[in-house]
Amino acid sequence: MRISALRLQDFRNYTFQEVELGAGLHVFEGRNAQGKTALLEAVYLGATARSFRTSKEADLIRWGQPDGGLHLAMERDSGRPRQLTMRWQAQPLQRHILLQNQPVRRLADFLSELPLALFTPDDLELVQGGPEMRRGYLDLLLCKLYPAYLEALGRYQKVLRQKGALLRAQSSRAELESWDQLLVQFGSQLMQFRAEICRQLEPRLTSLYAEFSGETCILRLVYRPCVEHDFGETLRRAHQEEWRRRTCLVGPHRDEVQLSLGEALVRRFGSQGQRRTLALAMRLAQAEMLLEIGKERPVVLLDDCFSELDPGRQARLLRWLEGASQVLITTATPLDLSPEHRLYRVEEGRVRPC
Amino acid sequence: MDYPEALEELVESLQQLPTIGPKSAQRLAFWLLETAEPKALRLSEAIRSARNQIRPCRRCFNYSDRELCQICADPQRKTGVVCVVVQPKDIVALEKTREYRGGYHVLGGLLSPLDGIGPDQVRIHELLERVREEAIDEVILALDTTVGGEATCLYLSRQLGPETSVTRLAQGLPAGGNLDYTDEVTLGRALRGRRRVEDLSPQ
Repeated sequence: MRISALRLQDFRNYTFQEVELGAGLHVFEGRNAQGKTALLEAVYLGATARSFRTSKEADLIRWGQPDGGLHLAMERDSGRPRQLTMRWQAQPLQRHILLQNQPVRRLADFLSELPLALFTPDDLELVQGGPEMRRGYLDLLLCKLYPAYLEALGRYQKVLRQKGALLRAQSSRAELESWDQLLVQFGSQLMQFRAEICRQLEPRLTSLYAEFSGETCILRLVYRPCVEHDFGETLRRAHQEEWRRRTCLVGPHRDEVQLSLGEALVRRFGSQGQRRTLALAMRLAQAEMLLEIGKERPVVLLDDCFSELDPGRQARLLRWLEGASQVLITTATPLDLSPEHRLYRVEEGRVRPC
Repeated sequence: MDYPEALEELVESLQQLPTIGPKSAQRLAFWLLETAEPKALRLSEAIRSARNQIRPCRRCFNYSDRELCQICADPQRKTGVVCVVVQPKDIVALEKTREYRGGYHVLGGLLSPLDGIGPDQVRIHELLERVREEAIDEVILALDTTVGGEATCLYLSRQLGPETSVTRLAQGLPAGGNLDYTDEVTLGRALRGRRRVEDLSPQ
């Protein structure tokens, strides 16, 4: 899949902008706060219905405007065109998504539409942040790959919120078992999916890391579920403790994914360079898996992180990117790219090709 | 321009109704003013008498204008089996099937700790009491397939215990539905709940 044209209207700092895009590498150059990242954000929204910058959708509408939105003209690997429109209305805040001019009723229907990989400086948090970052990483991949996972995750989170409310209210202890039973039902599904995806991720990640770091240490990725055996039994045993502490202590919402090099946990002992390379490898692995299972070749977004890599890693990354259908890069400093690429200048909410 | 006070009160009270927004409320209010008086007042009279006369059935909590609702008062209905629903509306839907001849029990809500609804806020004690007193040996749970519905089913089945047969409605393909129009979650459930072809004889 690639994007043939991107149109923004009253989106972020853009009044109206149309950008024609082709296959291969595109570089958007400009100073900070000119609207470079907003371009990537628009594409990311088109793939995930979420922003990687904000959870407040109202921020997407240009300041003071009643509504705003974006339009993506896409082209499948087969050459077949696809149209996606997203509009936000400010008051009351509403979002409308149209795929092929038809309203999208269920998110699952369109999440599999545009395969995408995003790299941002914040990716470092995948490695050095809390476990929730790595759970989010698995969730994103699994939601894109399996509609059943999306469904189970949504239901699990609903049950978890209900159970949390029950524990806080301390109202009816007899009810707790029913919620636990549902937690087991949906949580077990999540754990199965996560264990399986980790098995598939590890070899890929190990070889990507070795390739990008040039190190001989073996990278290990190990799924550490919060519950190792019998989920239901573990919950029963944690019952007293949960009731006393008024919070949900057991379940896949507390899973961890452990990353280690040799014997050392990267999160605690890795160098800055190792962490950065690992974060990159994680994103690359994610893109590869989407590519393999998802049939369509992905669009890759690199937000301001290309220049942070040393020349050797830049070159290796460029080589890897040749497999992508389309790559969009933003940068504040001019890049020295040898292969063919298109260059655009971004200034005060205007994009012009050079 | 502000509406005269009485008109504003009318618009606002119409707006409290479900699915009615400001525009519809305004339209309805003007219609009520402009139409012939008996026609308009018929509505207020209907609201008043419904509020006065309709009450929950003593046994099943369905709406009724007598002590016992039509279904509970009907000697033809099967005893010993009760179908549990959330609201009286659901009884109407089930009755349309003409396939069920037993009694009902209206819970009035689903368990939802987030909304402060526990077993004491819905009519679970009343159900358990009925099961004991009326010697009910089969309970059919016709609740939503939401998380709240599932939790309520699990809770009820535990409370009813093994001596009562507790079943819930099947989930799967809609009648006359096309396979390719069915969402993958429903289709997945239909797949898990598949049946042998020889068991499919019409009943």
